Amino acid sequence: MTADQTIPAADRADEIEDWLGVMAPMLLAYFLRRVTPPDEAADLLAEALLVLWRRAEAIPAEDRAARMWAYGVARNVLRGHRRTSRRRSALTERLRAELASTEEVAHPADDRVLDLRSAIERLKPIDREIVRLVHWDGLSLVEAAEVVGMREGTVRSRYHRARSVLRGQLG
Amino acid sequence: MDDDELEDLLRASAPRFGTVEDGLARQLVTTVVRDDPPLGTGRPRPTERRLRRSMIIGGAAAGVLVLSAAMTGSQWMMSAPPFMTLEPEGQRVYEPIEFVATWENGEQRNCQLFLEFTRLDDDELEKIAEHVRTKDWSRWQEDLSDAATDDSPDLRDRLLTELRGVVPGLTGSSESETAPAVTGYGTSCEDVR
Repeated sequence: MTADQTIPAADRADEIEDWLGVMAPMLLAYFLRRVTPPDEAADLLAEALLVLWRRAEAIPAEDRAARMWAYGVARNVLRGHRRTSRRRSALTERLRAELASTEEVAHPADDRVLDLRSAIERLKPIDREIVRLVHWDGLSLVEAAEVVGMREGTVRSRYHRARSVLRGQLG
Repeated sequence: MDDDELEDLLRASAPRFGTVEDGLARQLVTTVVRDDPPLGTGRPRPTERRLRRSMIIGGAAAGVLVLSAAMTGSQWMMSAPPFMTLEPEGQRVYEPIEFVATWENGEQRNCQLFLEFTRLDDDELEKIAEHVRTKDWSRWQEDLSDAATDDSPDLRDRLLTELRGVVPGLTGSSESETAPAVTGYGTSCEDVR
């Protein structure tokens, strides 16, 4: 990323706010799929949005790159969430309350899906995240590589190894 | 199980939630934007120090600066783009660990690694900076090179063990919510000319 690819944020505050509005549900889903209890996702989302807003000047102008940036921030926030103070607003509290009773829309009845989730949990953390980014968040391997900050080739080989592990564990 | 079946299962394994909360998530954006100072009003820009440092490095060596995007350990990667800033409450030791990294195509670059922490007091930060400055890191070259070029899972434990000799209560970032902790590292490299 070069400087001339970044958004001149002072001129684009409205645009950034709109973009955050698009990203917010995606980031909420990202957190919900990774934290327990689910109401933790409210704090994480608030924190991620704050980081993105404060760093708006550096958000890439290109849509895909901006989305990867946002996922990268979300991943970073998730890693740090145990040691950072929480931003609490009335709305965050309301979202927490909503999420406290959130359950999956359709809990999978297929035991193999549940077995697969358990197997994914047992993967090495970076491999687990790659698999989740690809299959849960809908990212390509190239995009997943950007989010986790690794080379595409490394992510590809880790992904294929992880699939082999999963296939082996599921029989 | 064949690959197609695994693919189907992976697709079905994503937890799916309702959309009721999506509206609240969007409203939260408005709250964040309203509560935080508007863009371009003199808010400190956390990237400035990093960028300034990068320029110094590049200028001094007249080389091509390469900010490495690869410095992970699964819980460690803090400084790969877009994480070039410190997290809230983060601290960086600006005394670099210097090393030469070799890329898979054989190219070598001069690199620097900067350690990142949280909850260190000033004395502890200074002790670590002094340790970084005086220690012979030559035996760490392989792990450091891996950290710059791709991934160095062993570096985390090795660094933590080393730095506990300087700050005994130091922990890995996920071990405690109150103790001083190593949270990560960042690397930058420049071509050898």
